[in-house]
Amino acid sequence: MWAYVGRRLLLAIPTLVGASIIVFAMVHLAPGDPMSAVMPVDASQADIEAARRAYGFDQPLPVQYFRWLVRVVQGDLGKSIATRRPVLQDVYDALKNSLVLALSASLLSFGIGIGLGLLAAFRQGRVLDKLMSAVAIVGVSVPHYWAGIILIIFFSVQLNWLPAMGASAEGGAVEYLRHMALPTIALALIPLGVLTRVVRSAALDILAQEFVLALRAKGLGRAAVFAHVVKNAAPQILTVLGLQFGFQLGGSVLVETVFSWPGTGYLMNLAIFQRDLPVLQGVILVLATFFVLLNLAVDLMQTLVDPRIARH
Amino acid sequence: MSLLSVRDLRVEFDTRDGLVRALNGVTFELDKGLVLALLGESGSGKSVTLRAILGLHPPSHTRISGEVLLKDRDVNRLDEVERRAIRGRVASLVFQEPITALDPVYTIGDQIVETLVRHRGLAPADARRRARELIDLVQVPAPERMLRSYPHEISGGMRQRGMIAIALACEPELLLADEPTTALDVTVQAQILWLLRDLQRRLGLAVVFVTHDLGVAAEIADEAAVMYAGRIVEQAPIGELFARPAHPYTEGLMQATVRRGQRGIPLVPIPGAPPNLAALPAGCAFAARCRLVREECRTTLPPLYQVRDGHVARCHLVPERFGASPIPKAASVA
Repeated sequence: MWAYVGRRLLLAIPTLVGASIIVFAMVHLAPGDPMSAVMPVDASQADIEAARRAYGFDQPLPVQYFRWLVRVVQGDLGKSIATRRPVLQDVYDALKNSLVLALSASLLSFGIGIGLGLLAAFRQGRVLDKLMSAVAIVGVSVPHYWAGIILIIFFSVQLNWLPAMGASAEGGAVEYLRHMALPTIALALIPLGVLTRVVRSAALDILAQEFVLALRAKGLGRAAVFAHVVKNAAPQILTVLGLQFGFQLGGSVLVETVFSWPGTGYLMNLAIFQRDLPVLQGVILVLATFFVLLNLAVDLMQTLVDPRIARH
Repeated sequence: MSLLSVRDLRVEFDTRDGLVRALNGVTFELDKGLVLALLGESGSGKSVTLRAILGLHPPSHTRISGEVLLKDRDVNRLDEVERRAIRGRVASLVFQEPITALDPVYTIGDQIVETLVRHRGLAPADARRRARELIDLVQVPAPERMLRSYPHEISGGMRQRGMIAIALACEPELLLADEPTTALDVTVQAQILWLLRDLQRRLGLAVVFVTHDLGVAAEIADEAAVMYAGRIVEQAPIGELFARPAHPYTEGLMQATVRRGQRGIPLVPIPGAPPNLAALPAGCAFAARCRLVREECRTTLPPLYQVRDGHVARCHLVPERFGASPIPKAASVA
């Protein structure tokens, strides 16, 4: 068990280094000169060259990468080209907001998705199952930015019940929660659909196995059989939970933009349009790190549920 | 009164390929402390019979008729809650493949304990103690380790001992064993067989032992019923069956089995394959593969004929080959 934990931890290091290389390369391979976004239009060629040197853009890419990596490891993600504020501070603030949103959307979608999926599996082939499957397909198919816009039109514009934009720091907890409501729903739709489908199929796989018949053959009731099925399906479901949480944390560019929610997605969107490379790199790197750690946590949790995993 | 009395049991499955007639009027009885072997090829209805005895077939696409009297209560007329009280308590099922029949993420100990808690309402500590006794009963060399082990951590033979311990946890009177030795190594097969025979005698268990292996049946059974296409085609005390097989299918099974002194005598396989249960022929289901087949076999289902006392066979040729006469349907119980 502990050997397995150690091995997984060691494996996370090359994964993180790989992620950092990709993040660095991706941003540098993208067309467009970051200088053009910050320098005044009438800046002389010499001024631009001087600025490039100041930011280190004149060095070869590998050198830029290593300098960047050394600073990153020390917690220095550089300064934003657009705002000149430390990237770490911006990313930290944005991450807090995204984390809140991702957590609430996860709570909503995981709870309902797991419930619906299990319900569908235990009622396989009946009306309820078909209804759940329909809900799931709608969930995964509806583009969430579109759902966001519809939510705004309906709840903010027509009914005027909930605010459409921003994360209110003033006005206390109630106001903050009111601002969270719509983006949470919009963000929860896709994972809700994915989870319903995954949980249903995982539970059906287990239900088809002979040991379920054996459990019934020894006289166990529905609740006891249900507990066995859930424990057996848990490792597979956990994997998806981890991935979906990661997606919600970083993949909410569209939702956060639609609702002007000051999270990582919103920050990334801003950084892309302003060609703010340090910010973009910082956000992606932090999110990638979160993703790797999240998957590590999921892997370790699985060994607690399924005694067979640590053996492989 | 018999412990188990199955009367004209029919089980049909609604499938995409049509109605599959898995059991077509199976009738037999079993008294306390006796062992009945159900013999036959795959698909002859042996496992379906065992599951029907516990009422385990899903009601949604199964049609069941006839009676399964377990201690004089008809399982087919009980509701699911009443059936649960019988399963594991009056009759238990041992599966062929312990690796698929045990829950992989629960320890053997937990799986025994939950059965005890379910039927006996024991406190966890008492259930643990009883589980330990059961592991001793199935003769496991390291009982404490066995209780703590997950199914994948122990050998096939040990897993099957665990399965048997679970089945015996609540002291059932009837054990339904579905080819319990088939999935095991030959040496382990013998050990499990001896264990089952020993337990059966010590605990006075009645056993329905499903197997396709005549040697195994000879080893453990008092009586044998040969099944073909969802019917019992021959039934007799085990010695009588070996001495005087009356149905051509039973003869075929014996000629296709390796026996002592077999050297030099070729094995004779039964030609052809069992019939499609979704489209059974009108007459004898074995007619298409039978070396003695006649015209009437293809058109008329043969009744049960009495070959000797306690020995019946469902074949038109019994009267002329054994001088027997048909027995009335009401007495068609061996």
